[in-house]
Amino acid sequence: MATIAAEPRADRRRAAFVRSAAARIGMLVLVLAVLWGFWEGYRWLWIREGWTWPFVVDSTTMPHIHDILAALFRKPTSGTGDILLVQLLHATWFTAKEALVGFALGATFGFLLGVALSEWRLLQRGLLPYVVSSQTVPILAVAPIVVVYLGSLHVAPWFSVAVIASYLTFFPVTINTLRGLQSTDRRALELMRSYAAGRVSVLWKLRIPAALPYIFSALKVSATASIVGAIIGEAPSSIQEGLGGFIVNFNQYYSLNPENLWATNLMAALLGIAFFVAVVIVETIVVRRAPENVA
Amino acid sequence: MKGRYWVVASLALMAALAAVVVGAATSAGASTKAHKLTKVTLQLKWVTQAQFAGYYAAKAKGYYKAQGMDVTIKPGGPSIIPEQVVAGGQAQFGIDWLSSLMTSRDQGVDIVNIAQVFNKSGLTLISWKNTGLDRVSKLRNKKVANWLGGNEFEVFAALAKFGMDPLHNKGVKIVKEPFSMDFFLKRQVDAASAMTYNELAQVLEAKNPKTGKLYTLKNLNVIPMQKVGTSMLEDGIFTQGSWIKDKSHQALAKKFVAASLKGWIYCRDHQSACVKMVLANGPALPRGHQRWMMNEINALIWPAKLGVGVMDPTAYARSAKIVKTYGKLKKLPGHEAYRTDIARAAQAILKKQQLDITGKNWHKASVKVTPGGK
Repeated sequence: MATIAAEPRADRRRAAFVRSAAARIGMLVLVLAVLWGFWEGYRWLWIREGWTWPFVVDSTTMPHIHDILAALFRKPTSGTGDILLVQLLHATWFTAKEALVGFALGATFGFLLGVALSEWRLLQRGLLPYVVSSQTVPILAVAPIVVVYLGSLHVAPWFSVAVIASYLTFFPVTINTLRGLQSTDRRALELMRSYAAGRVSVLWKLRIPAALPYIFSALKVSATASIVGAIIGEAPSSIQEGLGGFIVNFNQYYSLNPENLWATNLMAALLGIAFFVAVVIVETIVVRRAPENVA
Repeated sequence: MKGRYWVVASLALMAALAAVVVGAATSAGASTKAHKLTKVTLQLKWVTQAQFAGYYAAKAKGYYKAQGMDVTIKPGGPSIIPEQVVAGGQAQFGIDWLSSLMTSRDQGVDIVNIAQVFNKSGLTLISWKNTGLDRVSKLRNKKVANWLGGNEFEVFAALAKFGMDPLHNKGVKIVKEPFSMDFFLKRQVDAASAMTYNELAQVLEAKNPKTGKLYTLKNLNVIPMQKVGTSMLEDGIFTQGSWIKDKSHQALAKKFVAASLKGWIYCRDHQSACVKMVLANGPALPRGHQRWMMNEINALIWPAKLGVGVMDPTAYARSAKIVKTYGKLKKLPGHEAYRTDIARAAQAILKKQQLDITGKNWHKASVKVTPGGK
């Protein structure tokens, strides 16, 4: 019985997968088309009517989407050098490394801090206000301090950038870890207690697995924040190889070649999406395989 | 049960990654290769561009190496203050405008100018031809843009010379100038500050939307601060005051300045080669724009009456007076803010190599403007 039933089920599953994949791709194309239409439509209307509010629309303030894409395949400078896309891919890879390290540092620190805060109430009362206030200090003010401090320790400049990225990363993870660890099901907790489970095993076998969905939603926020942190951190660190360096440079020549800056922003956005998707994939693997979801 | 292993595995992975990275980062910083070369860091005022071509040339041509140095050139940016980088010991040498050195010193930062590379000011005020604003005196009650933050002193002194009070926005309206020249092209101000080597070219590299052709100098009034008589000295090499007291550091500084000035001499005689060296360090830079910049930068250095690198005391005194007034300094910067012995020793090294340190016969080339600076 089982073997006979399995085959059509597998087929059906495959068909469903193909259908959903097609639907997703279709949706993606549709969304992109609508966004493109909005941009070009807005542009066309504002130029035609000569509207100047909220800003004057022309090829400097809103370059054509196809001009931005075309800029990716042109050399930013005549003659020597790679096309912009190749240069930007190198820059994106450079920034991605900084952001990834910053993300790993921030997520690890954030998680451990969250666990510590949830385990020791006193620590939570004493420390949490400072954790919160750390995020009200703008990253722009923190970045130069980190660079100067770590620079005096002769640490590689990119590592300072990673630390700046981790500064933006740890906070959501700490807060959500704390929230997740505190939201364990009371009945499960009582069950564990009735088995005389120790503090460590309650944490390890019950609280942390239960907090995983919370932690992962924080990681999604942090993944994109780590890229922002890395880009901002590159400026005070004298790093020109990354996206931050390209942004400063293209900002300077914006009136001449606005497409270059837009193209750079596009790459930064794609990097953010890549980080986000990576976290989602890890989440699917980790959370879906958790015992409560397998059963 | 499986779920827990994943948690453990991912946590362990994160921790391991973090540990590896910390290790790598610190060891990369610590492993200063113990060759005979002395490690030296130079902090620039701004991002890589032809404004700093001489230093890139000195590195690329091996002039620093020949003097026993391995020089790291750190580009600047919007959030980098070279004075603080040098005072904090992150770099031995820095490049910045003399005015900003004076301001920092007034605030107690221990730095001293050891070579004044630019001997003319590149700052101008520009306006559109049809406005008729071709003299500073005509800017009364007009909107004048400047980047501010220490870059405004020359312009303020020029306006004050004709009875306006820019510090209190009386008789003239000062507005903050952004990094890009778009606002000027859109005619949002009457006059804008423009460096001959950068912003002026940005305007010329833009197309007039009405004619579809590039703007030319005929479309503009250009008022150089050099002509108004309120020019100040700009890019110079400085170092930490306490650091340079040491005899061995003085010897190092002499060699560093000699190699740097040799780089500038090379760029005077090989403009296009130097543009290539700059582009090698900033591959996304617009090439035509850099070519223009290289030529205009050379015009700020050459000819050098006193020989390149030696401070001109009259220009220094004029700069000091202007900064005192408009930078609201506590006291007038005196001669203790600079020393010429290092630059003179550097010149002696260069003379021994039969190099021309005055560039008497140098003439500005005519560089064709390219659309978009490309």
